Amino acid sequence: MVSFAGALSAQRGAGPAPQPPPPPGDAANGKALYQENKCADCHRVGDAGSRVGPDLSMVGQLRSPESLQLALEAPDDEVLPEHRAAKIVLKDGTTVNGRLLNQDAFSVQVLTDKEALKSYARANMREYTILDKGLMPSYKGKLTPQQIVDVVNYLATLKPAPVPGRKP
Amino acid sequence: MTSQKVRTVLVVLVTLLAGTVSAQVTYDRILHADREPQNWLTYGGNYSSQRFSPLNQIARDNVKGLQLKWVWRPKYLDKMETTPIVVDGVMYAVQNSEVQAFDAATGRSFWTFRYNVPPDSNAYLMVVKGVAVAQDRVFWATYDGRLIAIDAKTGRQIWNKKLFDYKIGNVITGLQFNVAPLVVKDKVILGPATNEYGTNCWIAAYDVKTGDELWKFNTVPEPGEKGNETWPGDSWKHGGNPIWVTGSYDPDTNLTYWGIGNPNPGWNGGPRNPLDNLYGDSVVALDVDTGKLKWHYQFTPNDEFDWDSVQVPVLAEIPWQGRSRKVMLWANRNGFYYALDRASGEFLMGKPFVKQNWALGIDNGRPVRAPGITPTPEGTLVYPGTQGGTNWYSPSYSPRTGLFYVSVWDNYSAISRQGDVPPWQEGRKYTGNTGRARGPVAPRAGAPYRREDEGYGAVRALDPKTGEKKWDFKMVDYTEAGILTTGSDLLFSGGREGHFFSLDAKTGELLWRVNLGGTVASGPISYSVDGKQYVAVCADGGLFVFGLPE
Repeated sequence: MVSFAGALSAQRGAGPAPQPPPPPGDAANGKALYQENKCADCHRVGDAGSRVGPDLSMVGQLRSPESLQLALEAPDDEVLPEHRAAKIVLKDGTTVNGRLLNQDAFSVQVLTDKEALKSYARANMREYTILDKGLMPSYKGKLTPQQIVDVVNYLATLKPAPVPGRKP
Repeated sequence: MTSQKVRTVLVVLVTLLAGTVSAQVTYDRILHADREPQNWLTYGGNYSSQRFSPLNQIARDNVKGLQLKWVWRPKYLDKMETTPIVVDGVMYAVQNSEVQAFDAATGRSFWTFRYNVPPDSNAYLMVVKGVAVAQDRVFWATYDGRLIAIDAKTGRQIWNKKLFDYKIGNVITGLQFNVAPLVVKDKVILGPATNEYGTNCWIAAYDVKTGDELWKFNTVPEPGEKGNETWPGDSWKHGGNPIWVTGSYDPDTNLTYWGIGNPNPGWNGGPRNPLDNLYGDSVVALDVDTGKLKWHYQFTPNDEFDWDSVQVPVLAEIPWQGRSRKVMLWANRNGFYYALDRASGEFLMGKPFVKQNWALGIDNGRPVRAPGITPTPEGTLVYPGTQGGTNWYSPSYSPRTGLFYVSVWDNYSAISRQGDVPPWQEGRKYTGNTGRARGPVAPRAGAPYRREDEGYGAVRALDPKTGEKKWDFKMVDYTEAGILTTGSDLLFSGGREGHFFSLDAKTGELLWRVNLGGTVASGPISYSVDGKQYVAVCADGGLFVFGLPE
């Protein structure tokens, strides 16, 4: 549901500064909207959902409410390079879509839409396209402004569990 | 690309998301690892830890053509001891503060997971022996006492559990994780080491899903636990008994087997004399569901020579006195080769596989100590020396040749000196060793000057039924390399001289070698991608992958 944006690298290192609170909204309704709109077809929260889109398990810590709202309303405005997708057509006609992970002069590595880590030799490709737009639909007009705020409120709750004894 | 085309791709992408999710590494897959020889699913290759690959594309007639395919030079270039895991064309490897997922054919990275291990958590060496993979997760045990579950597809951290304090205040506890975990069913099994700090260790199982502890076995039994009576007074409180290498698992008995390190103080028993100090220098057989001890066998009771039993338990089925028998093969650091019944722990045989002078033999499963071979204030010459006849280096058993292959240090000795044992002090080593003193000098020299009678390293093939040596491949310097055997009767290993080589597993004949520029201190593995076989090994600060010409 959120675009292929949102730095997740902080998961692997020191945590970022706390985010400001979201505008008033209903996080529970936002969660229901997340489910109704099948956001988990692309995104993952905890152990649920697809890995092909950006993982949202800690998105509430990593991104401000403002950027979350932007990602819902105008997702093409901010797509981080690490969230680009790839379309590969092999010489035998097979088409592979997935999340671009790595590439060099000889090969391309993707997490396919079937969630397999795969490497493809450029020599075996007929077509190779890197996609940085249109990976997620805009929900402006599909959801009301308040519903979007509700979803933002839900996403803002997605943070790592507090460590006992550690100050927030 | 037009906007419309982009949308079309999106629709296709989203539609396909409903498709089949890539296969997970289930318990059943690991249990039957022999059915997928293209993969290397556990530290030892399978639950039997035979480090045998059925692959046979690389064979005697083409091994000379092996070419370097790719190299991983991690950020931290300390000595690498890691055994990679390979699942469906993806290799997972660890070094120091990073875990990487690679395309196993090209070495291109899919993802990197970093966890900044505190430098002062290094109570020993900055080495990790590997990760484990199960379900859709990679499990990494860090020096500083954390067990981390990582999403195998994305490199995202799923959970991160602190299992012990490597430091309390400013005092180092001496505990560290060094092993590659073993996953059996829904359990991640591992234990910590202590490098002579006298901190007691354990083996424990943690839930794959949550990291919650499911059972724990104290390697130094506490009061009320069987075996505590083998420690005089309060000496059990600082007994150590660390875990340094990965165990094995037998589904027939539902037992997991782990080798346990030496008791503390290590080089002078002092307060723990004269009793046996269980479960130091032992193998323990634990029920994998409960952690309850089924049996144990102690190789070196009351050890004062630092002869950890941190060898990988190798499980095999061999002919034994006219029938087939399920055994455990064990070449121990104390210089003896053992065969045990792995269901009961019954001692079947024990025989020296290197020069030793500390035992006259083994009587009814217990070593008969040679008179006078104990630590003394003036020093006692003991064979094998402190590093042992072998050590943590993975051996291999080939079901094709029926031979057991061991990396050995032979004609190797040390001087065992007895000093005072100062009281245990938190954050200090607890060895009972007082350093150099006047007395005999071990007959050894550095490798450039060493005679064979002063010590040498070798890959040694043993008949597991008798312990008889079948052949040797000798090196001047010692070896810390593990051993791999394959379905084409090749053997791969290396050593401190920096060579990585292939031998004929039947005869020991050298077939191919390359110098990798540093100590080979890991166990090689083999796997295949798209029908092409590869061999991988670590040397010094790099992981090297070889294959046949295209």
